[in-house]
Amino acid sequence: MPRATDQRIDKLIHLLVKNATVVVPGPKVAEEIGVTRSAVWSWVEKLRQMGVDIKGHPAAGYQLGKLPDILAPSLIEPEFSQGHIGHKVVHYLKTGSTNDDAFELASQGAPHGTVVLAEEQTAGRGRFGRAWHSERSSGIYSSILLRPPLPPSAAPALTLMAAVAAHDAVESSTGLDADIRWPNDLLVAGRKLCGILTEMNAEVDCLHAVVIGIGINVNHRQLPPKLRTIATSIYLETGKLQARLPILISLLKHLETYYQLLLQQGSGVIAERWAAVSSYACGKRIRVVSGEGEFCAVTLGLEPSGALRVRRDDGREESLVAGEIVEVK
Amino acid sequence: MAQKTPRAGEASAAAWDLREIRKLIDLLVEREIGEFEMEKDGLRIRIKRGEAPSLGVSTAPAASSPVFAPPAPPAGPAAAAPSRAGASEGAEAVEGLHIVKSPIVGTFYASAAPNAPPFVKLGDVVQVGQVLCIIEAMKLMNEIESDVAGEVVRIYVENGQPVEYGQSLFAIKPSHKKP
Repeated sequence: MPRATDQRIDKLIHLLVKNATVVVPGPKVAEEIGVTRSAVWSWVEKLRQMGVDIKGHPAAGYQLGKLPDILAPSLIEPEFSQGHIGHKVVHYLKTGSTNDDAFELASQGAPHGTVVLAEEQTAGRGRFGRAWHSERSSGIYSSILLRPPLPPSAAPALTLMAAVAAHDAVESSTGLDADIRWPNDLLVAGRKLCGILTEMNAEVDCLHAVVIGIGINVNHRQLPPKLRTIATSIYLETGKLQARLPILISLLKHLETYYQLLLQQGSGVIAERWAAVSSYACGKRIRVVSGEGEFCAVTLGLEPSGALRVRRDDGREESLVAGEIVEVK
Repeated sequence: MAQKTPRAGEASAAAWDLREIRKLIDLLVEREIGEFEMEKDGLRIRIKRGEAPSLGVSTAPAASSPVFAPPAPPAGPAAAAPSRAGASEGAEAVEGLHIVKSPIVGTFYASAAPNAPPFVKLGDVVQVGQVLCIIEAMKLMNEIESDVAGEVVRIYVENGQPVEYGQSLFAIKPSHKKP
């Protein structure tokens, strides 16, 4: 696991944000953070490389050109109450996989609601080790550590919960109304905008930790050729660059809301919300690919557990709990 | 099944062919024998059947709470499940074997990726915390770790196969710590 972003860089960002309207003299910055002026200078350079608009130089002082779109803990944690999702943020400039980091932190006792963020992932992944393209500072690469008081058998509903939270966050902050492909891919015009990988550490009747990895393509202007037909970004869909910070904060708030709903009222309420925003819930012709083969079916709605009810072409009805779903046009 | 030479003074479960044990259980079920005990090669086996007629399914707790009820088993392949589960429940009664069960309804994966080697094979010696398999349900990937150190002596399921809540996945013969 790489070292988390130096807390003093976080302090520097916080200092500049707090004094966004004035020029902060270099020596003052150095004194407040407790480092040398040349260290401040090198960090400012680093932040500039990451797209943070900082005006000025060591002699004159520094001023933020505009609020930085960096997912710094000091800009996120104050938004959340103690114990809620987001109250504790661990940030990396670059890491392998935020899900792996979150599990590592979980094994060291990190609390429920810890959020791991990275500006860039070098081994971002989906199911079965498939790669998740994680271009620097273009997307939201997040992993949320939960320690739900649920039996492991109830945990799969967390994946639908994550999908509706991501759907609502994207819609409320960008106006984009994404579809949800069962169980948890966000699609716009059939192309993936957001992917979710949920991993659980549990024994038969004891759940230790769940990590929900959520990747959202935000400001990617261009995707690698092999992804262009299957993936998209908020920028590619709206033509506008979006600040990632408000989307992330909205995501974490929606996650907390749905998480509380799930704990208080059960998974049925999550399944209802899911069905209300997904075209895959009912009447969709799909092909199901699973470890046991492939078949075509029509969707008949969700079970309260989140399982997808389908009628196979041979007339048999069943509830899916696993398998890959593809729309049949 | 890989047969390993038992160490001195240590009873080996491998000395028992688990297929034989299954046959034995089937016989006990057929004759409606409730309890059975025997000793062979230093290993004692005791099989005790529950009162419910369906062996495997009866052991699953009546699900935590109704709202969180696990999804109903798939219609088709589930037909074969009771006998399979029944047999593995029986195997559990083999003293000294630790059975790893599925915490969720889902799909069993023996490896991390389709072309990757399986996490464990028969005869492998595993450590506590070592990943044995993945069970997936609704894109929730559950890495099943071994909670004992020992030898994998039985794998009850195949890659890609649907599994039920509480279904036996692996039998592990714990390695005994030296005093």
